Amino acid sequence: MKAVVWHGKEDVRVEQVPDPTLQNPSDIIVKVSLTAICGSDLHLYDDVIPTMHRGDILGHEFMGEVVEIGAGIRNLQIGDRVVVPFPIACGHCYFCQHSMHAHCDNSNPNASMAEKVYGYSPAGIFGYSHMMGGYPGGQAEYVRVPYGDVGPFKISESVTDEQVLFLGDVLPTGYMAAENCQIKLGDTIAVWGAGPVGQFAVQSALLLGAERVIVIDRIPERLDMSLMRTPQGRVIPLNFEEFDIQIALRDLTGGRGPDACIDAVGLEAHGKGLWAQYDSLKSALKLQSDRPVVLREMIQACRKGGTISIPGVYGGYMDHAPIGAIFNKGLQIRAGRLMCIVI
Amino acid sequence: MSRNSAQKKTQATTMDTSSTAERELKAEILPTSEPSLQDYPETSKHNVSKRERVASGVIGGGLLMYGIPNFLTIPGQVSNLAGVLLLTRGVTGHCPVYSRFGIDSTPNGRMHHRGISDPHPLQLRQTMSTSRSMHEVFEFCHHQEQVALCFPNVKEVQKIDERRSIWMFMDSAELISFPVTVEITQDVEGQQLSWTAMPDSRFRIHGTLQFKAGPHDQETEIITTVHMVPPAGILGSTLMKLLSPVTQEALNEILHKMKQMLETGAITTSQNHVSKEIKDPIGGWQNRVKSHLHIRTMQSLANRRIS
Repeated sequence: MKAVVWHGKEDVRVEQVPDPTLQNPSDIIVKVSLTAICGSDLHLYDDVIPTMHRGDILGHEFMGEVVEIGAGIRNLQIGDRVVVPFPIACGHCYFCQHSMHAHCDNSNPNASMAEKVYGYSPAGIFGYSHMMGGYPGGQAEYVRVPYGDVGPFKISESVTDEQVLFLGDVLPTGYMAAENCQIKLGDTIAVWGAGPVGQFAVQSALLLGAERVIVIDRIPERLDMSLMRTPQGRVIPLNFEEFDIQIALRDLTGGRGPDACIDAVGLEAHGKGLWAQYDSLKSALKLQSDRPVVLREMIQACRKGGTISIPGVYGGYMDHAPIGAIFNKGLQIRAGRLMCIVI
Repeated sequence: MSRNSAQKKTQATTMDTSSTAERELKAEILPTSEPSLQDYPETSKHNVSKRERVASGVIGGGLLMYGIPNFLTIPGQVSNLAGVLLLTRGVTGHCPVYSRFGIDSTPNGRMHHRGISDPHPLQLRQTMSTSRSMHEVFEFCHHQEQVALCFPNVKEVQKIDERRSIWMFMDSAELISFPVTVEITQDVEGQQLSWTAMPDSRFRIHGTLQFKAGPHDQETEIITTVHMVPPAGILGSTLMKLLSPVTQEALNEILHKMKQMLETGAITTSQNHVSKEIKDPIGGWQNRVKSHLHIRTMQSLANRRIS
């Protein structure tokens, strides 16, 4: 089969690789009909996520048709159309039983590697480094999906692939980011990053009752897109290359600051000013793994007692975390990968 | 549990009836279910006795007296370096080399029998929770063939009798195999399972699996202790640390696999084409080295921040 194979920094190739086979009774094989490049795939492309190996197959947003099922699969049949969520979950451990599928205890075969860095290992992910399990990803013609009876969910014939593909990652990630903000009617939410997750976070925040959503990015087309299908005046785009974000947010919130801030950017944030240059230099010298430009801005901008929601991917360590601001403003930080799996 | 009561308990349960001296040694080295001082890394800053501190200070001072006037020569610089290190050892009472090898010459350290030729037991400890009842977990651990599936290098298990079995280990290239006799030494229904490997050899490995009900329904905590007593004192212990495949990481991986077997009925694998035995989920020594370097870099970044 053909697959998108990682070969190193900014070196990704479409190559012929062996077809996957069933390994465990709960496995299924999915013939991929549609797949996407996630913003977080760029971190792999830029080689800032550790433990990628030459030959790894990328992709964690995909859907397709079930073409093989293991002996233990009861809820799916060959020919079913499924969307596959990116965290792999066993469905049996403490975390799966408490709807925290992204923290599954059993799906990361390289858990001890992640434990060295994080203390405890998160769930395995398709095509996202060996620390996250080393699973071949979905930017391929076929994928082996472990625990096929837990994550993948059937899609009816009445909807197209394009309508449902985003259920595997970006839509629920954006929704969870907004949900983590514990939005109340009348709240103002600021979203950094108007990529796919940011766009869904904007829509979700409005859906959950936010009065206004301020979107911060530097790409005009993305900022324009955030205005589409939203009630006039409730989404305010801000280009951070044209405005001082701290002053603009103060102005837009009556000097109080946004009630909650969402970081839909992650570890490779761009920015302007000395802090951004400092982060770029330290990352280039391998003295820090993540560039927390957006995080620092959010913590500074958020109102007292507000919430910081982080759906953007971070991998390791950041310097100069403004813990003083977090403590003295009483901020809540809620972070993490997509938790819910439709069952 | 106090140290004395732990000793009494292990003495009571061990099946060996050899000489008193041997029994005392075993009481000292056999694993206990409760954590002891030796379960945790050295916490005291002082590991050099007063006499050694004075000697280090005097010798270090002497070396500096020679080295400072001869600073521009190589012997002078070497002398200075050694002098500073010895003087620091004498002033602080801490020797990093002793610390590395687990030696403690202070009276407190001697109480723990940590002389150079004394046995230097190595202990690994890990606790893991599983969403299965104590009964199920105990039954699972009783089936040595099932447990062996969680060990990456065990080829097969031959049962000798109810208590003893032979585990056939094999290197990853499947060139060398070696048998290890395992004997169950304590079997408390639903609570504890203790075993010893190579009971007839001077190189003993003891293990205990203790089962406790977890705070949630149908949840069991598995507390694992592995106690290794290599021969030849500190030398054997050091060689064991450097060469032995029985490491904390290996123990973690085995427990993860046991948990996967218990909770899902199979061992999770990300391999596409390895059907029966999962030999190297990371795939080759080059990738292992690369991953290790990545992880070490991230750990060192973290340590620098903590310090």
